[in-house]
Amino acid sequence: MKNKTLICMAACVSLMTMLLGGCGSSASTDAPASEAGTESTGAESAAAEDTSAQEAKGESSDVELTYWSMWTSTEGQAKVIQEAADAYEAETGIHINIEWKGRDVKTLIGPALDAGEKIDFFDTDYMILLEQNGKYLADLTDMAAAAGYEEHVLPILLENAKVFGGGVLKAMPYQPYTTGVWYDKAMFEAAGITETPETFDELLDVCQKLKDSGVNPMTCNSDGVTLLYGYQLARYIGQDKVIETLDNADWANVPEAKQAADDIYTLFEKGYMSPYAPANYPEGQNEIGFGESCMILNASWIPNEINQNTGATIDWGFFPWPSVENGVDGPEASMVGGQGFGIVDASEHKQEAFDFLLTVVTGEYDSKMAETVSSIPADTANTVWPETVSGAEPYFKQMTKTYEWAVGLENNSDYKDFVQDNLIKLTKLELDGQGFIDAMSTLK
Amino acid sequence: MKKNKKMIICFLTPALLFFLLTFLYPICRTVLMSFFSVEAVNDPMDLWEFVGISNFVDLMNTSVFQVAMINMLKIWLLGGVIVLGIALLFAAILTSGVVGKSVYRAIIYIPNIINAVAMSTMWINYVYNKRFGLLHTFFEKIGAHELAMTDYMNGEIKFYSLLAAFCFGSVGYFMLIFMSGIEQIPQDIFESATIDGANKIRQFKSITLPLLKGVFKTCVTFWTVSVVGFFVWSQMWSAPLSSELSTITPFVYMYNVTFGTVGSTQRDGGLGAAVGVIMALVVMLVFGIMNKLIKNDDLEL
Repeated sequence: MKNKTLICMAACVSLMTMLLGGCGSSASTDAPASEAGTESTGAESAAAEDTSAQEAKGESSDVELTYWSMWTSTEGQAKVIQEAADAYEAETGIHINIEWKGRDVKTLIGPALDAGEKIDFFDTDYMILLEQNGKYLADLTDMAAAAGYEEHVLPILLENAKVFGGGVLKAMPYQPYTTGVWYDKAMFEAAGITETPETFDELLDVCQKLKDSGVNPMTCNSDGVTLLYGYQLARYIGQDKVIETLDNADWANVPEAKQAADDIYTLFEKGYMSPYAPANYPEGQNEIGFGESCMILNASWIPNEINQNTGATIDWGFFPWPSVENGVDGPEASMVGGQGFGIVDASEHKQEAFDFLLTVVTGEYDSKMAETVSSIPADTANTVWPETVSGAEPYFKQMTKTYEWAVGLENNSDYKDFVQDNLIKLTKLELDGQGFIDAMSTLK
Repeated sequence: MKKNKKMIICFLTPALLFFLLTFLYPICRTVLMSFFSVEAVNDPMDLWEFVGISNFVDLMNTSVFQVAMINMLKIWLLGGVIVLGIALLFAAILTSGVVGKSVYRAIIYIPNIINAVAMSTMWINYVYNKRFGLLHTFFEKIGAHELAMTDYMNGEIKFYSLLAAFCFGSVGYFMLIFMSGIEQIPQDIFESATIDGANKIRQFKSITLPLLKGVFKTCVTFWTVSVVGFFVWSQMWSAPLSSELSTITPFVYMYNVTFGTVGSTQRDGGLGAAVGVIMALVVMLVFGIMNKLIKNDDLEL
């Protein structure tokens, strides 16, 4: 009997051991790494002091940085960052361990950091980075001042980053984007259009000329309808009033809301939008690449996406969404955003991380990033914009007012699906302007 | 045979401990969290603020959650009738001695081994695409130009295009379960019925269906679990958006409120947990009702 009990206990213990062993295998393999980490902590200050010597010699360092990336390894941005990391390692001996997490990094990073995962820096949309993960991030003010970094950041991005960061600099923005109307210059020329429209009435004239020339003047994806209506309404009443109207469901008491809906209805009713619009992503935008449509209101990543999706080599032009009669906003107001790197406050190698990231968001690699994915350079010293997005440069530099994404129409997760659904009905001509306002007014 | 209780305990203990660690703790934490206001799911408990049942009350008063629940109910009911009906029909045909049973079974089951993302991409791009999709091309060929212009990815029809694709991918799994149930019915019962003059349809109605009650209960429970966890298909149908009204389900809404969306960085882990609790209750409710309605021990085979 005793033997049986002993056998049972032995079986239980060995099963537990196997299970724990299976789950805990990484602990044993991690042990040398953590020891190395401890050693590196001790060597950190020496390494930091001796950086210049290492730079000269390209010696290996005990320091290793871990980066959780919002990109996947095959994306253009990832290739540039990897190249910058390799160059940084060759120069300083500091290896950067990159984990390509993809866009879900925004949901993974918080639990990982809370669980004590050793991450030195990560990136995601700079607004999400700062508003959702700001508590994990280091204040970069001193390091930025020492490196003169702020002079290199686009003023509007720097201002936004500080606002989102609670008044201090906690992010290094890169790959900024703006929004506006992107168009095929060749189609404008073929239609005899020499000037870009500045008012909504001029936009209608341009649309008519393009339609007469045999192309669809505009197109949009189904996710672009909030941008269309958001921009039009914000041109009348400004973003703050748009958000106020949305939050209070006060649509019936804002005449401009109906006017903006009528304007968008007109675009579709007069046949100024593609018969397929709003199309499922990315079919709508691809119509420009296929030579069927001319203009689209979207962000500055759109030209590159269309070129890549369709193999087109379009000569892209840009103009801001036009102003409206008696409106409060004009071309000085636009959606601006970007990605952002944040350095984890708990990191033992904040300075090294900052030094590396400085090489990514400024100078040669920022320029390479812009060229590779046809994006706007983040560094003000990089004055040459990729040709694809260069049309937006003069407007971008004169911009003084920032809109949120879809001018705030997607801010409220309880309403955004209703807003989008009603806008789809408006653009499918199932609702007219008044019908849209009535439908929106029920969203209490 | 005498059972050795000590041995059973010893072998079950590790699994039980692991279950407690990896399942019970998150379950308890989620249930608890649903009564608190919590920003991020990983926030420490000292940051939680007790709000009682207000998360549940808020959910009941939130229009988009109501729409999500209605969408889920429509998928469960309409999809359930379609999927279980077709699966049962296929199972009955394939177990009736049809030639090439293995080939048909494999073909019908194939969609189940393909990833939902790949299946969705196939349907969206190669079936529903209004420029070169299968349906567009078919209607163009027969001269139905109006129908060829149908936009399956917008408006009211979007839900049904999603439902059709989801059902297509679900039939094979339930067909296998039904087939296994039918094959367990002793052949001599069917032989006796044949001798007594019952045709195949009569045999199906009077023998197969009554003896499949237990299997049917299992299928409804599995179907409920898969519909309650409906997420990837909905996300694919609204890509690159996080959700759309026509295809939103409670889990998509839960994801939106827990992690924020493209246009909003606001998060509410407590509300997300409340959605999770409600979904768990829905599954338990359906399971309870099925247990009440269908007794599978009426007949011993």
